[in-house]
Amino acid sequence: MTDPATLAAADLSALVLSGAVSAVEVTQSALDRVHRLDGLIGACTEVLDKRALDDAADLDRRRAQGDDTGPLSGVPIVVKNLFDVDGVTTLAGAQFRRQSPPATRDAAVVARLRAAGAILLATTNMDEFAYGFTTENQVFGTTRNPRALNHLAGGSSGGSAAAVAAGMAHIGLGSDTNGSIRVPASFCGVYGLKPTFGRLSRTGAYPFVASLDHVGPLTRSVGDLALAYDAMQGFDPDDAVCEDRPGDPVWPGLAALNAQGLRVGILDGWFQRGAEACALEAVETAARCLGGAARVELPQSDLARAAAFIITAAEGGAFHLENLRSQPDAFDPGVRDRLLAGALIPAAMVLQAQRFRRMYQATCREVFRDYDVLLAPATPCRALAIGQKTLTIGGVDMLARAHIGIYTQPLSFVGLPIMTAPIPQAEGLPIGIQIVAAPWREAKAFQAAAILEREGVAAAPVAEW
Amino acid sequence: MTDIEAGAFIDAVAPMVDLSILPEHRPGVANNLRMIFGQAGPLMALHLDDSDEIAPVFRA
Repeated sequence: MTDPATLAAADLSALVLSGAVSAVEVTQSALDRVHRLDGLIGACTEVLDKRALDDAADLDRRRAQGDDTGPLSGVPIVVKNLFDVDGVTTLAGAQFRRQSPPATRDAAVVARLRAAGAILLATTNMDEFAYGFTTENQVFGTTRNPRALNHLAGGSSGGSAAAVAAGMAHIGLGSDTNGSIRVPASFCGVYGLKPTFGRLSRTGAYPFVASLDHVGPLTRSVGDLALAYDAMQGFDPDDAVCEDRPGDPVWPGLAALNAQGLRVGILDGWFQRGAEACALEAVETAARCLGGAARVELPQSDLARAAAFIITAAEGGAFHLENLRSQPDAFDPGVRDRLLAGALIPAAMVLQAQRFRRMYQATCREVFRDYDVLLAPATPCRALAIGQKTLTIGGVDMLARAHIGIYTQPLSFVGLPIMTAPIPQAEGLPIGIQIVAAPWREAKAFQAAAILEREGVAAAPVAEW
Repeated sequence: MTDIEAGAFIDAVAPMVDLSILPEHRPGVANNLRMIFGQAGPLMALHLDDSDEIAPVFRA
């Protein structure tokens, strides 16, 4: 059997559907890979061997009976440990949630992926309560970057990104409040999608900042990303912000996409400052491939970042207030101090930030009259070395962790759909770019990414060992 | 926001939300407050129109 990790999800699913290979064989192969590699990487927090093999055996039985087992039949997936998984305690990266009772049903998007035939292998590591960009967890350890083990995977969905980069799973599920899918996608060299705010259900995903929380997939190919995204679309009345609108499947038309008519711009100003040269060159390379190089300014992006920063701290602090009162020492110290400060923010500041959201949204809407996609770095630098405290960019020293999300944070602030595409470098680690589309126009980001992948500008091979 | 201002802010506001900031947590909290207020300065100086309401609904 060809190593399933090297196959596209669609091809793997086709093999399972044809009976050429069983879901049990695929699942066992993926679990073997997890057990062989994860002691070095630390991507997974709980490996669900029995459940995965039982699910695979059930899928094989149903397929043999002639049932349609779905477009992701036998495809291995992992999910960040803030998603509810039936029978598993939802940790959200936190020590004191270990005492919580197990979830009694899957999160909505987990259920949809499994209904499409995906096999859940494991839950994955994250920053505590998703409040960080590094996946350095005081309880569950630091997730290492599979492409360079002495480097960080990024966060907060670092476990899912690392598992996908290492070939343990085809699809990793993550969440993104300020960049937590896009940052680890950039550091680990995989694709990541943060859809429009309200597109995918967040039911059963442990909240961080309700105003800004999104969920989405990480994969090693645009096709896998499309299949995962399509499987998760659909209205969910249990999520207060999930919009009741028709799905917009992207997989069926993906192969036929080309650059014709695609209006591409490069985000200027804020999105060109404070980046290493490779981050800016990756954007230029992608723009050349897509036939567009016009510079586009999104005014007040500095304020958008500030507003997202304030809303995050305030909502996070309010959400955790009870535990901050009763057991502050149970938190990671860095997270605790941010949440405590957030709980003290005056209401006028939070409301000013929320009202500014409307103004910045109008600015973005105006720009998208002339462009289909805008390109920007996903991160200002490639993956940080473990223990690295500072970055020096343009001769200026800066605190690395505070700087990682500067390009992701303003854009998720107004709910735009954004894909991170991994751009390999001649030497060393890859770096991601953001492909930003207008609200509800995820298909345009897929169009651009499909071209970049086809032309070899973007790529996410399984990490070599 | 200076160290003294951050300390005074914590002393005044934390009891209002029934939070006890332990002495060993104060430096970290004060540091975060300085960052938050630093970020908030330009944002609070921005004039918003009366019609700029909170509306987390996004349209193309």
